[in-house]
Amino acid sequence: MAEPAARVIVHIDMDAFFVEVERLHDPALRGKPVVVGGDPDGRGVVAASSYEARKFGVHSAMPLRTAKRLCPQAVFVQHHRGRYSEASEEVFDILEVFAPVVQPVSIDEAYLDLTGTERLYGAPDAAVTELRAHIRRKTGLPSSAGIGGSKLVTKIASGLAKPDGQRRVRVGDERAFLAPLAISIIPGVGKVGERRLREGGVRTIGDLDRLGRPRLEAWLGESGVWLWECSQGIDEREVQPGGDPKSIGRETTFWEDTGDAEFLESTLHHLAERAASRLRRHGMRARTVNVKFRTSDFRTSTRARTLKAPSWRDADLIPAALELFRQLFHDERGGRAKVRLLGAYFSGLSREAAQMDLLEGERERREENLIRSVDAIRDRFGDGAIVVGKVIRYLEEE
Amino acid sequence: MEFRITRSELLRALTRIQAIVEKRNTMPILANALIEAEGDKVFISATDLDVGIRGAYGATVVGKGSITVSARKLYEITRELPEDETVTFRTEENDRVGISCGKIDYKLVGLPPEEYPGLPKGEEKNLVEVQASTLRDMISKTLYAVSTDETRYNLNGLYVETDAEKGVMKLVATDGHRLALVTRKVEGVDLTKFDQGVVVPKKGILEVKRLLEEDDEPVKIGFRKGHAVVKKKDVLLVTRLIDAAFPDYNQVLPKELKFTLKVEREPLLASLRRVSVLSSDKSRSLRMELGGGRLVISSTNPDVGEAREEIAVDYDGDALSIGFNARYLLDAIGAFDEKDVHLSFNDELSPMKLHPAADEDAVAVVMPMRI
Amino acid sequence: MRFSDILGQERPLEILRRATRAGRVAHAYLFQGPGGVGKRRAADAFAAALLCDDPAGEEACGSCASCVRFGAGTHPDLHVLEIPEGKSRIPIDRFHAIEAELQLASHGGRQRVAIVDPADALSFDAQHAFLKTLEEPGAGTVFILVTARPSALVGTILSRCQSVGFGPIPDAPLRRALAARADIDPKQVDLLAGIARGSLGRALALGKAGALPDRDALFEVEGAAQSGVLGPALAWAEGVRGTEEGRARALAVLDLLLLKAHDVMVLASGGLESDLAHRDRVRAMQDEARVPGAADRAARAFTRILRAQQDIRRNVTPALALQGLFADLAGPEGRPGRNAGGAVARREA
Repeated sequence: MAEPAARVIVHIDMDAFFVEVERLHDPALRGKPVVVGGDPDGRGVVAASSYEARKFGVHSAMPLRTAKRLCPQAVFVQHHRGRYSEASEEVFDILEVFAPVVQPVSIDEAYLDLTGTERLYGAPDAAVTELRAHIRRKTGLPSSAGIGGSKLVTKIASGLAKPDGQRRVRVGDERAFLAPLAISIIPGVGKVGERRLREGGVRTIGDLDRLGRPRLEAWLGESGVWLWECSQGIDEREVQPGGDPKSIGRETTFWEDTGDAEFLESTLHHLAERAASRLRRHGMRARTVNVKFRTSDFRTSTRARTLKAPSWRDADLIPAALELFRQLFHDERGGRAKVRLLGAYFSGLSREAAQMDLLEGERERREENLIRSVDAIRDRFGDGAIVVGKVIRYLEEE
Repeated sequence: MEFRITRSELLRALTRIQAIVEKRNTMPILANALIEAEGDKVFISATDLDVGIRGAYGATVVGKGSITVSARKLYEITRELPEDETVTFRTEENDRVGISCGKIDYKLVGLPPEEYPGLPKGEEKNLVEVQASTLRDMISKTLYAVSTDETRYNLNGLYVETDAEKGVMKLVATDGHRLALVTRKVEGVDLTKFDQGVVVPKKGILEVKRLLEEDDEPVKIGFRKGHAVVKKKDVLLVTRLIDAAFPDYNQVLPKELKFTLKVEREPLLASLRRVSVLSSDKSRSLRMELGGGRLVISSTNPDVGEAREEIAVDYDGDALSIGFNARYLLDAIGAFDEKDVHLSFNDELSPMKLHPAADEDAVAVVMPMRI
Repeated sequence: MRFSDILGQERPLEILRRATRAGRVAHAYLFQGPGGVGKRRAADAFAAALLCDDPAGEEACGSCASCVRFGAGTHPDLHVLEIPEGKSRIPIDRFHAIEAELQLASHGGRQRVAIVDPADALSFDAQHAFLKTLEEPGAGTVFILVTARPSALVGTILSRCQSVGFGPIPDAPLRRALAARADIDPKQVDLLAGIARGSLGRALALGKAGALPDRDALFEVEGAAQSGVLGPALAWAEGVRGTEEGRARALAVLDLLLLKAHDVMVLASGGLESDLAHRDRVRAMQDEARVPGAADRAARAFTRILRAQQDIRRNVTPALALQGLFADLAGPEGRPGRNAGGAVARREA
């Protein structure tokens, strides 16, 4: 039997993610040591720090007061969870388009399985260079990547490549790559494990290799076997696709509460369009359309409508969202409410087979092609580049 | 009013109207049958305002007149009367009705006939005669495809079209996902007298079907001014037409199809039924894969399991894998009655056309599912 | 129903007569104006004339087959959309039934009329669905929307209907009409006409429910309740029975209280005496209106009385609803519990 083709796995990790997102919002932070977490005189801890601050010994989970003592010139900024999850969604949108299998690890980190994409993307190095450049173009955020044949190796490689770099470990080169590295770099070897290994004279991964499997097993049991496998770069874990989302949506908070129905409708139109585009990217259809709405007195209302059949078409989803909004807005003090937050969500997601329409079949096919190309244009140039509604209207007038 | 009628004739009349009598209580008088006596006939009518039936039945009329009385009660009474007896029916004071049969007497509360809304006003002029068997066959091959989606009301009925030049009548039905079309020659009738392209609501068609199933007596039909009229000997059936345009079905009939496949109908139906047991409850989807001289029908339901069946076929076209709603295929193929069926198609996203091998004038078109 | 049976609405009726005579009937009408002044009766008369087989001039003949069925409520081409018993709005499915009906050709192959009364009881969804129906007029269908609250209709519906405005019925014809009724005590005609303020419907409801003789006693116990003495009001309310007549009487009594709250608000805000319903009691009400905060209190009482009416329509025992109302009017000192049940409990103990 032929040897199965070697896997191509990529670990991609955003560089100082929270800091970089804050720098997008406040360009004055660029080039300066930045600590995310809040008031340096308060009781909080560091959520993230820039590379400039790390040079002074600042690291995550350190009390903010300590960070201030170590690096008094750092700029301390508040933690904005909404900003990070929004940026993260944008990054994952790109990853999901790019890779056949994406396993999210955390808000700013993922494994990709690119096995079998060489014909499409060419050599993995070039493909990942292009991917990282694309992420930077679209989101303004730097990232680093490790490329290799297993999760273990790529995770270590991406760490070594930081910041803003990438490193490839060819299949067969794993032992040589790992040998000089300190054992603490292996994910899962904690402080305690490290001390125990040191006591036994093991400092580098190469030391593990030299000890050999039987001795490690006799010494540390199952952990010993695992450590030996690590030293060989053996890690059979697969890249597991993240579960399907339960709902997909977009929302926005206004700088200033507004009661301008026309403005609110056009905003909702835009939000629903972006959410629908994300829905299609997941290859899913939604059965239920939800609109969420918070008034200036912080009361939140939501309303949902179930479609006749699951759909990913703007033409089904957006009018339903607008209709729901009009009802909510009308019921909310007869259209005189001021709105603080507005959102469109799709739920009841599925990949069920969808019946095509006989009478509308031709139109549906044309619309599908059109929407797919619009989605592609958006992936490339961003959401603002094109408004689907207008294009569809153009199609109708033809 | 007073008349005598045989139990069997009265039962025949009342059986005929039971399905029409209004069950909802929107207008109480609609639960009643209108009974009119004149000459040597009794006329018994019922309507739900959409469809109405009026039949003439032999009777001995002692005094003419009319009344309305609960159709349901009258039917239940008549059914329980001894067979081969004569029933005497007479109106009394205050819209009451007396019914006697030998020593049995009933009194029923009626409502004044002037208040009865009457049958929809169909024109009985310019009717043309059609064989019952022809019309029955046309209806059974199309009725299943009528839409039940109330928001697409122009599809909630059978579309009737005539072509006087070719001497043909067509029935068409579609629900937007599939379409059924039957074209039949109608011998020796003047089709120019019809309004062109009318939509008869499903409810009306079901009544017509019932009427046609009584016997093989030919019927006369006409479509004029918002109403369809069907007349058989002494029965008149009127139904209101749907006041909306039917879509241009010619546009969706596939013209040139690249691949055709001939399959024996009964075994194909059986396979489809077997495989559809495991198709997903929601979408009812199954997959038809063609290529290499075989047809593979399969279904998967993530919660239950999967089914697969192979049929050897004479096919040398491209390899294709098309998704379909199992019910649509079963309906279409089930409505045919010949030995073999032709399936023709182009690709995974275009409609498939089906017809009995020996009858190109009975066509079904089914749109695939995206799977 | 004939135009000539309708009181004191010369101007709107003339619009309808002219349209019928000239055969230029609009596709949709909005009959608006206060309650009980004959809007619905005019809609019926107009519909009957439109459907009549043999109209005499602009009126329905009253004797043809169509008119007989119209009178019996069995005309197949007349469709009426009303609030079903026990509901407060017109459910959307009723509306869908009419929609389905309009999709078929008319029964008689001719004119068809749909009356929506009150149109403001259509939900927002139903109004939008209705808008679509108005935008795609089927041939030969005339819509008549009846409402006392056009502001509750979406603007796009208003702009698609020809508006016909109905005003209060002038005093003289109203009195004549009341005097001619066998079910109205002739001694009460003047009083009723005054209170009804141009609404024959309200005058008849008050007159027939026999609420008027209650008025003086009612105002007395209500006044006591307002000043914190609740006992007489609770005892009085106990006398209203749970029968069908009892409910009608309670609703009429509450109408009287609503009018009184209205009057106090008018007086407290410096309004004219001629705008009052209980004109004969102007003295007593003036005293009440002079107390500081009277308008505010009257406004609160108004909404509370409306709620009591709603409760009764939702099958709360009339006595209980009235007692709850009085307890709330009495304010915190007169209110042992937060609800009607509490008030009753104390009284029994």
